[in-house]
Amino acid sequence: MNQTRYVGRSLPRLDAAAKVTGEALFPGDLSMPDMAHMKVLFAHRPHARILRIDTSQAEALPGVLAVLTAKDVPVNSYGIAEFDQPVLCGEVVRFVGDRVALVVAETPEIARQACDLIEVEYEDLPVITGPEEALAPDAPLLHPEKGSNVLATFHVRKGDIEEGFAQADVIVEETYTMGMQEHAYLQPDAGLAWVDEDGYLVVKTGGQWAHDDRRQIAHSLDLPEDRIRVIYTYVGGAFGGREDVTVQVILALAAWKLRRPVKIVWSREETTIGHHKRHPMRIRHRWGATREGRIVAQETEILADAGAYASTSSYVVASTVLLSTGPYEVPNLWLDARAVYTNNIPCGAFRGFGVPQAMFAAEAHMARLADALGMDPVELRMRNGLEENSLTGTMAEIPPGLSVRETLEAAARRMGWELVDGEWRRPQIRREVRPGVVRGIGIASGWKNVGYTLGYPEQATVTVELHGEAEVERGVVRLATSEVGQGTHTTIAQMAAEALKLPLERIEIVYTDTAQTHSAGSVSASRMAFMAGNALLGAAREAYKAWDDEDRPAVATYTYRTPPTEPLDPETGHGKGAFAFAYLAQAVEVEVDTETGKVEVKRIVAAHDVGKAINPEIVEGQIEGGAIQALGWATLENFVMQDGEVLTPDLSTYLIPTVLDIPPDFETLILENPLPLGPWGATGVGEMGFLSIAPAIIDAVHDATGVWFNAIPLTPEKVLDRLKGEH
Amino acid sequence: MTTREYFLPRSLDEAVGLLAEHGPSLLVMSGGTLAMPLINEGVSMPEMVMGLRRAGLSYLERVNGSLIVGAATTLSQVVGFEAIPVLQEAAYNIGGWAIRNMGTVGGNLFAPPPGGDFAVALLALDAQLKLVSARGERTLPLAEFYTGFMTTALEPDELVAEIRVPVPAGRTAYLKYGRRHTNTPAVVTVAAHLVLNGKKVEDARLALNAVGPHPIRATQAEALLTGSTLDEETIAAAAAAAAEECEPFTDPIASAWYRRRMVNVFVRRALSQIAQ
Ligand SMILES: Cc1cc2nc3c(=O)[nH]c(=O)nc-3n(C[C@H](O)[C@H](O)[C@H](O)COP(=O)(O)OP(=O)(O)OC[C@H]3O[C@@H](n4cnc5c(N)ncnc54)[C@H](O)[C@@H]3O)c2cc1C
Repeated sequence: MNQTRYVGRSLPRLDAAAKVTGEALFPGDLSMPDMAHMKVLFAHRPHARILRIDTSQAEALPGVLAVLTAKDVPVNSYGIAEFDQPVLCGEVVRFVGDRVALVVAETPEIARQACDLIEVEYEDLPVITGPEEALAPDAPLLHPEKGSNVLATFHVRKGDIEEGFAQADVIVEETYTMGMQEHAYLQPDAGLAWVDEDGYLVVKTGGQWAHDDRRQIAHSLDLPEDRIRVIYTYVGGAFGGREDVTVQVILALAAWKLRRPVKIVWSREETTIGHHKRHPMRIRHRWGATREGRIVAQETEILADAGAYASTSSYVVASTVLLSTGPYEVPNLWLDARAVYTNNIPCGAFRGFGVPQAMFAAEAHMARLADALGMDPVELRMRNGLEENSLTGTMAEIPPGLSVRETLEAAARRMGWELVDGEWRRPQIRREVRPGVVRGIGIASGWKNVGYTLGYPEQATVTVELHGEAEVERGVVRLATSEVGQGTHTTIAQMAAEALKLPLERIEIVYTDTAQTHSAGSVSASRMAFMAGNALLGAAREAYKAWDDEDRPAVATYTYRTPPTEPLDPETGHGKGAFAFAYLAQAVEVEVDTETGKVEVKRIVAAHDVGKAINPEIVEGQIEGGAIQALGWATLENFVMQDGEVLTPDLSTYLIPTVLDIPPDFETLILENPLPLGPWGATGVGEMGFLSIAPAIIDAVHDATGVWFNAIPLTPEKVLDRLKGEH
Repeated sequence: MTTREYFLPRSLDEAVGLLAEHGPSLLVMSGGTLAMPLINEGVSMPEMVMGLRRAGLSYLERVNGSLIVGAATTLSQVVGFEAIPVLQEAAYNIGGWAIRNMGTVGGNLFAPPPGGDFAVALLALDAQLKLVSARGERTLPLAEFYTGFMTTALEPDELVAEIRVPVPAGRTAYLKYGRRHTNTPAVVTVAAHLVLNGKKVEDARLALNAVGPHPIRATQAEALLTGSTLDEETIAAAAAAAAEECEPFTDPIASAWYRRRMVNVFVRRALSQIAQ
């Protein structure tokens, strides 16, 4: 292995000092002289026809500059995958966070007051509160032009399912359900937009993909993309929640109409109803295995609540489908999946992008299957893990970099599993911690694609400049990636220094500004380090070629493209959905208070094959952060929507883990089997920490109590109810 | 309408004078941890605000077997003042440090459920409130202060100036049960004060929070305890009685069904702690 100077070192975070001193600016910190303030009038009702909007009183209020409604929007739609969401609703509102009007005023207080003066007359329509209702034959259609409430459908057929079940000695069928999850990123959505002296429309905010924000703004305002400039500040967390636009289009609209800088800062409540969530899903698994523990058949039905608009639902659910088998060889597979419109908040990207749901169901089901077979769950996984010559559920070959068994063995051993007479054995632990409190341990494997899937073009463009005369004195890198707290700017700087063969201090990096950078794709899908690293290596190579040709400065723009992927065949579901996978296993120890039903995770062991840790501390941070977010999803976070209304719009009612809810004992085992495609061998890590905590908890709670749970979150009252019911 | 005026009176006299002068259009703000979020969200748009920070109401003193606490004393000050451990414990169980550094003892009396985790301890200790207006002052037991959900016996021109807490004669316990470890809304909070003679209960105060319109006393359970021997059977009966008499509600944190069950569990745990 070549010696590296920067790659592989835990350098301190480059953004840390600015953040702890308050020097770093976030979108809410922006201001300009003469700026106006905007407030959104949200629908606050889940489904209604708008009969009349009267803005006259609001407009008459002193200090109000403009009240904008549907008629003011040049092309009244936006959306990341489909332009299906009205910028401002003129006819129908389909969820509580739909926007009806914008008020721009001299102060935020006046804007707020004017909002209250807008009269909207609604006729309430029947509310579809969940996917089952949406599928009823007489259900009203949320998007009548689509002819159905079904947004996306997938079928996968591999082998012969009847034949498979005929070979099975044991068949286990269960239905798993998962709740909605809120990203709860620290920084509420905010931004500032203005028209600059050259007539460009500038939007400064935080997000995950500035170039796609620009595409959507251009569409809604009917402007050419090159009239628009999107710049990102530091971003206070994202987790997929800023993949869809929130304030970008409305800010652009207001600034363009008024020719004045316009600022908006959403409250926590507005942020909560104003952006998409993680999909609630119901997954039914019926799996068959031989007595020796060979999986022979998998029958699966997936139903996802997409909410009111498309967002990225069709891609999210496709990812659930793609990974639904878990990292196992399944010879016979029959799978149907649907994403369905409802009057709930739209669901879209959230760390793991549909794969946590797939892992929860598949891995909890593996634990059930092991139980039914009387076999250790690690042993069952070892017997079924993908092999290099396996075909995935969608009949694709396994890309190089398989480490399902290595990660499982690492996590299992650390948690006390042992090979006894050639078979894995769960450690025997004392169940009772103290009267009324029992302990258990559990484990789950996981896998996920790195980068975009299913034929979506996967590429990243970076520009490198080498300055100097006789020698390269300094480098400039232009790369559109947003620092959402994950450490990407540090990772990128380390890779840039390595690729450009320059000291870190002599490299300047220009980050997300569509006027100065090309698109590198979104900061999502565990892709940015992988994509940017490859693009940097390519651009550095080209720039040094230009340098050798005496170009001063030597400049190269390079686009890295991954091996292509394919969409799944609509009938058979066959297709090479992904170009690379990452593998992991996570084990937990839990305590269950049998009087209260409270489940507490006391210990986590997370084993991840990351290919190469560019910055080990950042990698560890991502894995820990993902795991704790999953711990929240599995035990604590309970997003309640009742009849289309949000009952948990703030952080006093929607509880996320605090620092004291993190298990005192958290161990990350980093494995480094270089990924041949990866820069310096690195694969993606951003989402992987999330994937298998929830099913590991299910396994551990069963180990502790003897009771299986199929639904998360495991709120104490649900746990107590089941424990008392069964005992 | 935006806030027109902000008063920062330098004494209690000045404060009650302003209150008498401006009446209900003047919003009283102590630590502001309840009031400010409402103002920021536009839920409340007071024309005038009076802060109590400088009104000389932040103090803790031990006077003849009682602890005297100024109404504007912060919860952090209480955490750091070693006089009555159960009060330190109660104060520590509210919010996180930022909330405790700003939030006050007086303000906690006005926190709608599941808030009131400090007040519930005061209730178990038979605290007395000193209410002051420009007309004069009166003393009211905390038990008589609450009149309903977000209503109290406070007159519109009165302020809570001071709280007098008798140093407990017996043993105390305080248990707050929430869904997470800190900064957590209560599923239920239990505060108990038992005067024992050997194993015999001579006097019992049992107060519950988050299972009623405001912090409440479990009087049936108290009656059951008083005069009994504090054994497992008595404890179980008192816990069951408290669960029976409380008036739990459903919110996104917990259902009424669950809250009632947890009253039983946590009253039993609190009493068992005292019995040990
Ligand atoms: C994140 C967060 C977490 C919280 N966690 C908890 C918790 O765990 N437990 C809990 O009990 N509470 C909790 N609270 C609620 C609140 O912070 C506390 O109850 C705190 O004690 C309130 O005190 P304050 O001084 O800030 O109230 P303020 O906001 O200053 O007062 C609220 C209202 O009470 C009245 N008032 C206050 N003082 C007086 C006075 N001296 N005389 C007359 N009227 C007065 C006024 O009408 C005033 O508007 C939490 C709040 C937040 C924001």
